[in-house]
Amino acid sequence: MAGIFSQARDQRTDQEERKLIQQVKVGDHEAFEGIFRRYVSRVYRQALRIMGNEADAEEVVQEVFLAVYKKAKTFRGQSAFSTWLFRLTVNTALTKLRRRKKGEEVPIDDYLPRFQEDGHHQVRPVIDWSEGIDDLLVKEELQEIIRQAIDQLPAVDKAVLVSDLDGVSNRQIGEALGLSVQAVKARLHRARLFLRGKLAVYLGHSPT
Amino acid sequence: MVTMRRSRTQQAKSRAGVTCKRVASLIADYLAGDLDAATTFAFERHLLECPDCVSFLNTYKKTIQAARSLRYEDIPAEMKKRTRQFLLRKIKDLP
Repeated sequence: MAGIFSQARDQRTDQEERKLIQQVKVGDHEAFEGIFRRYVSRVYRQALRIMGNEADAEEVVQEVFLAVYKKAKTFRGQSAFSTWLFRLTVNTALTKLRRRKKGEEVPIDDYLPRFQEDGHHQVRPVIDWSEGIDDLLVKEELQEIIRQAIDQLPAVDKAVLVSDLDGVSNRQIGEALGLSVQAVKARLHRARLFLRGKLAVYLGHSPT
Repeated sequence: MVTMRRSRTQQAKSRAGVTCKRVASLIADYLAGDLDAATTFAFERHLLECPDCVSFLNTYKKTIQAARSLRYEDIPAEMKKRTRQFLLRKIKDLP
């Protein structure tokens, strides 16, 4: 039942979006404001996750909505408006991220698992620290460790990871970034392994 | 005399034909349900015999959960207002 209702709601939303974007195409400022109100929070959250700070996220939001207005005519409706907007947001953020002065390079490989020639884990036993970090998770410190780790990822890997955290499918991520689904999966896995390694080290264990 | 002691390589491979390294590379696909039946079987059999990989899997899953639990603030009202004004000003100037 819920599926039917949500399907009907999705269709209604899709129709409303198409109507709004048609109006934006002919320069309707009110329709543009409607789109802004509807999507500004989502675009901001996506931008904040990728950029890592409010000031850069604000600039991304400005650029994205300006692009929506300017490029509305090029939106052909082949994909959902939200998909188009997601693509615009990720690529705007990535461009900005690449321009940003690079900070200290973090050797990603140092936090990835290592294995012996025979395929065993290099450091044994592997400690299961998964139990007992739930209490720490509510604390700001651990949240900050994870945020910092995300920020240390290479730009594209970061965009892949945060999009996945937002519930975007691998196919959509790939379309937005010009990557195959297989490449998205590989980058996502590597990003997760890096985060895992950073958490392990923070908790006093080997990243491997 | 046949030695009963197998090499570490043999032990690792005998764990249902996959090594710990292979398990680590398959985790994401395993969790997404993207592995075929035979590979899933081999993966799970390896887990039955390898506490290191169970720990690895548990910590990998917890990492995803921890990253998903991150809280991000909504756009501050003042920023939203400022951005709206900026955009309206900009689009007014456009041809």
